[in-house]
Amino acid sequence: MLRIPCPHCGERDETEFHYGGEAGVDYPADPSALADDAWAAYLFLRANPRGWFRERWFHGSGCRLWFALERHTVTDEIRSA
Amino acid sequence: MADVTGVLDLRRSPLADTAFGVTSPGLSLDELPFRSLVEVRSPEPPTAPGLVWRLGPAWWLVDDSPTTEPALEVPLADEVRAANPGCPVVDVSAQRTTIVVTGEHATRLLAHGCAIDLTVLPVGEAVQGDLAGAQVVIGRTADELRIYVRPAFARHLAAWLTDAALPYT
Repeated sequence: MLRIPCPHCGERDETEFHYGGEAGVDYPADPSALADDAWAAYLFLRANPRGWFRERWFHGSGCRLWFALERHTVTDEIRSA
Repeated sequence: MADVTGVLDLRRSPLADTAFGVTSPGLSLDELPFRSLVEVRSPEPPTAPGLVWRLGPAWWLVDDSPTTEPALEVPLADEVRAANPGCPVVDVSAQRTTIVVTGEHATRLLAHGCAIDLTVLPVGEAVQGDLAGAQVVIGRTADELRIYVRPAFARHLAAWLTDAALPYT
């Protein structure tokens, strides 16, 4: 079980959280102007690094807020982002 | 206006039929039904009677005595609304029921099902998290722990608490 440091509640068990995928993927400013491949890239393409990965988590059982952290995808080390 | 005398007597608390309750020298458990609960969104602690718990950033829960008159909304909501202009105030009394845990073994008991270290929880503060699989708010007053649990999980939590309390009774 991961122990995840919520910036508002402190360190908690992974089971209190929901995973939100890669962080920093912003909604396009003008989605209707995007070509199909750019829209598909926004929807479906994500980094899948072997190493440090900046990702979003939702503390559903606690403060019910989204936040971002960095996790090492091999060792599961976690550091704040 | 329709006669509403006795309407409050028709309410059933989530643990009404479960004979829930533990009384022993080192530990006691009891349900406090029908508390007036109000949620407030405000960056600053709201002005309110009763207990004010911080649930998260700009998120507060006010806990006060049960209403004595039948009403669509607990009077506490209007009271808090008037005292905190501009802050959203919502009556959430039916959203949770309250379980009070007192005694020297209170934090030990909850530690069996809760990964949050409640021994360092200061008086007047609350945490939200999972207790025995149920999402709860746990607040500490000067002499007790208050667990706020959703009605759908209340019977499960009561059964779990009763079982977990066996070594301490």
